[in-house]
Amino acid sequence: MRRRRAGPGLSALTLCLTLVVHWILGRVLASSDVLARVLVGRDVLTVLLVVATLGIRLFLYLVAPGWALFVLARSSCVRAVWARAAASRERGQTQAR
Amino acid sequence: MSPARPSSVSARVVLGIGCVSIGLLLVPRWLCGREADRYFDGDLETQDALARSVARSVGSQSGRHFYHTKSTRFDGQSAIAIYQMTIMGLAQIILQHPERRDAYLGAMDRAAEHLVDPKTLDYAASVYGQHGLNRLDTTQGHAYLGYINLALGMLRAVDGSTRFAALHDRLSAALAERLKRAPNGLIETYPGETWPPDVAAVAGSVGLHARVTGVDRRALLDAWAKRFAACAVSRSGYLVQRVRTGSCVPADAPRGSGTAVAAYFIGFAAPELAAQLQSALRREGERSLLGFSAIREYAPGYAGRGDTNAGPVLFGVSVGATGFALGAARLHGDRELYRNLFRTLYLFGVPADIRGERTFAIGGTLGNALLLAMLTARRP
Repeated sequence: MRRRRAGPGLSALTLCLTLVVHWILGRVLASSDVLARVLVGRDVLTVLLVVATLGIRLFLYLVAPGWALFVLARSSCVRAVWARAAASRERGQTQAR
Repeated sequence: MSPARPSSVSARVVLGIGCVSIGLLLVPRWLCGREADRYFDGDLETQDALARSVARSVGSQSGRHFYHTKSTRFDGQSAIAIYQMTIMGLAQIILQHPERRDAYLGAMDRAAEHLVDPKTLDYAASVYGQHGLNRLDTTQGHAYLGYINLALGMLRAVDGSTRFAALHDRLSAALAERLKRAPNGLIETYPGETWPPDVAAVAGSVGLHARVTGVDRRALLDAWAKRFAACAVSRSGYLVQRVRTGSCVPADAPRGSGTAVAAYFIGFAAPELAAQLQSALRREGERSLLGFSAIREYAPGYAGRGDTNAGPVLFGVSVGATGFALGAARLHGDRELYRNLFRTLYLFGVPADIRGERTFAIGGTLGNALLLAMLTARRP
């Protein structure tokens, strides 16, 4: 039960953290000329940063929206089922009385 | 009593597939395409944010060159491209928003000063013996001068009294004469190297000069366009990237990067031919998925790994062809293609807004200058 309640929160936290990391990486890359660093310096770190940033963007723009929708839809379903179960339990108790 | 299990595994899978599908089909295209129409419609605030970033980046450069690789050719050509595209992009914004003229003119003038400095492209002097600007009465090609002349034309379109006007007149006359004499409509860029996209820049610059000065070169450019198309445009409609000097024999495949940049340049000289190139990009080149488009580098039936003109080629589409096609799409009023290409640029270009300036973090100074010109492309 506890794990189910933590689901949407954990997803939201993951998304927020990814957004922050993405924001930081974007600024780090924008602060210098990426082409110069890659072409001239053969800077492996910059290449890795570019790959990481693009990977995170693909996740944020392509995967995350559907995932967030799924988490929301699932938690709504769970809440609805739990509400229905609680209501029927209450009805049963009333009838027993 | 514990409640019934809220959902079975299969229900969760169906829900998951449905959500991911809806998320993929609707959200990314909306998220990445929000600014496309603002750029296409020439929204000043949107264009200005990128323009200020490019102008600052170019203006803060201490030397002539931006990149110091072991290739003097790349260093010189990339500097020429940066100065040229910066001038073109800023001028295109001024043409749409004349109130920005005073803000940009200084940066344009400084860029033009570097552009006409023979030391910026000293590679040309090393292979020809002297830079083309130092001897305009030669019969040699020097087609790289087209890039310089295009920028001078755009500068003149927004500043009729520019100090480069006389040079612009002389250079345009010399290049027009070379095009007139070229049997196939092609001239060399460097000794033994004939690149049709460079010749497109030459013709575009002559056409732009005619537009801004009123000199009538219609007949010359119409005749040139026919010879050029017969020699360098392939059956697919793509432009051949390189031909053997003095002939129409291809030395490289028909390529998307060359076709797209030529569709932009030739738009200033021979709009019908430019529209044909643009429609070939749309017909043969556009690859689309979920509202994101990119342009294939090689015409159908050809393959390769690209080069510095194309940038990285992934899954057959190239960064160069896709970026330049933005300019061709805007110049030809193709909003849908522009929007689809812009989404791809937004996703992979890593836009960053810092202190009111827009930078595409992946592009560096070269990429941002090119994008400024392409995103704001228009005729005077």
